[in-house]
Amino acid sequence: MNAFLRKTAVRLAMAALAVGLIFGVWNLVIFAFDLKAYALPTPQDSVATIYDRWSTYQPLMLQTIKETVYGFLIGAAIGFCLGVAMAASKIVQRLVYPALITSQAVPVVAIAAPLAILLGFGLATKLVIVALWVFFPVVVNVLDGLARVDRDLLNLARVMGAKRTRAFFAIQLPATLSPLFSGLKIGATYAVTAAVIGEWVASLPYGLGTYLNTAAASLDARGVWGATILLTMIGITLFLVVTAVGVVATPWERRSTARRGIRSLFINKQKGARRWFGSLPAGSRSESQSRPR
Amino acid sequence: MVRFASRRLALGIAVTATLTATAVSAAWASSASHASASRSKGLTTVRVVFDWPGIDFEAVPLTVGNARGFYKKAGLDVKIVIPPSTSTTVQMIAAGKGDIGFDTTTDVVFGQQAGIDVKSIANYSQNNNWGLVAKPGRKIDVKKIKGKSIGIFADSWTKAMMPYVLKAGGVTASQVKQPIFGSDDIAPLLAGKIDLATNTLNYAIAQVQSGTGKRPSVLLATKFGAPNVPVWVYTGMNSWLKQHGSQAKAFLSATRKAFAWSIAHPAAAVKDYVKAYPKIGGGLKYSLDGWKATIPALGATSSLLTQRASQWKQVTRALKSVGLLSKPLPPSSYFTNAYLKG
Repeated sequence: MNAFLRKTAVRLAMAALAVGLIFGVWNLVIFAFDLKAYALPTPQDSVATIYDRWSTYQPLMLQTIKETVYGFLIGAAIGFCLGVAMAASKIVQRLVYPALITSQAVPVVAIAAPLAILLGFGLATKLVIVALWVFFPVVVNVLDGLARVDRDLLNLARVMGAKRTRAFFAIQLPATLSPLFSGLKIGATYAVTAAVIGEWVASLPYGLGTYLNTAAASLDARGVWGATILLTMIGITLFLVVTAVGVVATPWERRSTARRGIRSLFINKQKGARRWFGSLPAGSRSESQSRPR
Repeated sequence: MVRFASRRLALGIAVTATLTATAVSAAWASSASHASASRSKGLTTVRVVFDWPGIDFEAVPLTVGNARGFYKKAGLDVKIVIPPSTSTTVQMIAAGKGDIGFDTTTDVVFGQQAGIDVKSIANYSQNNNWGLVAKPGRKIDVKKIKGKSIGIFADSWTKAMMPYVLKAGGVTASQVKQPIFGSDDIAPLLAGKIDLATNTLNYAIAQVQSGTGKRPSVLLATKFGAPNVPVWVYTGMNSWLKQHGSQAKAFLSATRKAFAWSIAHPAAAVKDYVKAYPKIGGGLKYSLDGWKATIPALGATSSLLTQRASQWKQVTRALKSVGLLSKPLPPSSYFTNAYLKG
């Protein structure tokens, strides 16, 4: 426990130091180039603005968080399902992959205005824009993860009588988790930017992205940077949440033993194997065949 | 553990130092490459920072000034600088990235409020051509806006004008929907997503006419009580104006001639503009529609570019009434006609 606390304390200290360094560089740039407050306020002023205008920022921030999180979840779900579907069927992959790449090559700003006309200026447009940014890294990573699953392990499972669905849940799904969370982390950092772009195109109710625009139009640099810090914090928080979920979901990355479900696959116990695959073929009952290590 | 942490700390510091050095040197290099006004071909270059991240028909007089030799005769080579956003023109001239700005009147007021020593040196337009826009054939009744959706922009001019709309309609802000659009509220209007749009009418008319071939229904804000003040002005930093007063005078004198010529010959003026910017969006028809719709806002030829103290009083009063301005300054702080003389 002591070691855990010490490790946590060191990590927190490092994070605080990193923030301090960023603020230090920020101040240094202002000092070195004699930047006026209307161009770039100090980080201290920007943070103070958040405190001063909290009642203004709070509802806007909640709206942007809603757009970011919902859009992220939708994008992640679509990305995962598409990745699985594409891995399962070469036809689907050949049909969908070019469209996916095209969807990323088209500037979001260009399709955002028609989207607003199609879906209105409410939540739906923002969700589509965020999801569009998030789903691609997820698809690519899930597809990559599924392509790298150990074929021998899959064959073994099939020999042991595993149905396709069972093999997917027992072997393929866990194998996609590490790349999936890499994709989700990338998506988490994109999501806030996408939500802001969505708000810039058309917005009602207003969010922090809208506020950025209105504050900039009044040359209110402190307001702009206060909102920018909050948007950054939303992005970082989402990234940390995804990372934390990833840590819980992929314990094998930090410990040498496999998850219980997977372990049971390798254990030569007819009961365990039956639990996973139902009835076992006669040839799979010998210890030498079913114990891979 | 401690050793590991110190190694990570050292690595972190090294990375940060490298990033800082890179950022600082990049910024120095950038500032060095943007030297102030220069001379080319015996002409003095004057950089005019536009008000929008893309050029449009409001630049017609400037391009005519160059194409028809008005600036050359004045010893100037006018270059139009496109800002990165709709709100950076004042900041760009304050940072020396341009000499003269093309701004909204409200930008000058906010610039002064933010401590930027910016001054308006000439009006672009003489009238307030901001108002409500509806689909072609639809009647606009400002008294019946309760519950309707009115598309607005995030800019300060819209914010200053919307209270007049609400007052005329006898409604509060919560009784109408006001979706904010980033760059275009006419397309959602034509698509039926909003009931009314707000815009300066030269842009609204050009957009609707080029999109539908019909003129939209419009209602000027001045018809329901908004002050009749210019939307756009030319600006300069006091420090630049003190050093380059003769350039500012020469620019405005030639610009006035270019305005008069562009008003008298709209089709030829727009052709000059399209020739100077052949790759702009919209094309000749859109630009001609837009420029023709701009001309009524420019006022009488005899009073082109001339500012009035009353317009600044009205603008500051409007901004104060909506809480965007705390302490209005005397009009002389915001404008001068000194560079229009001579």
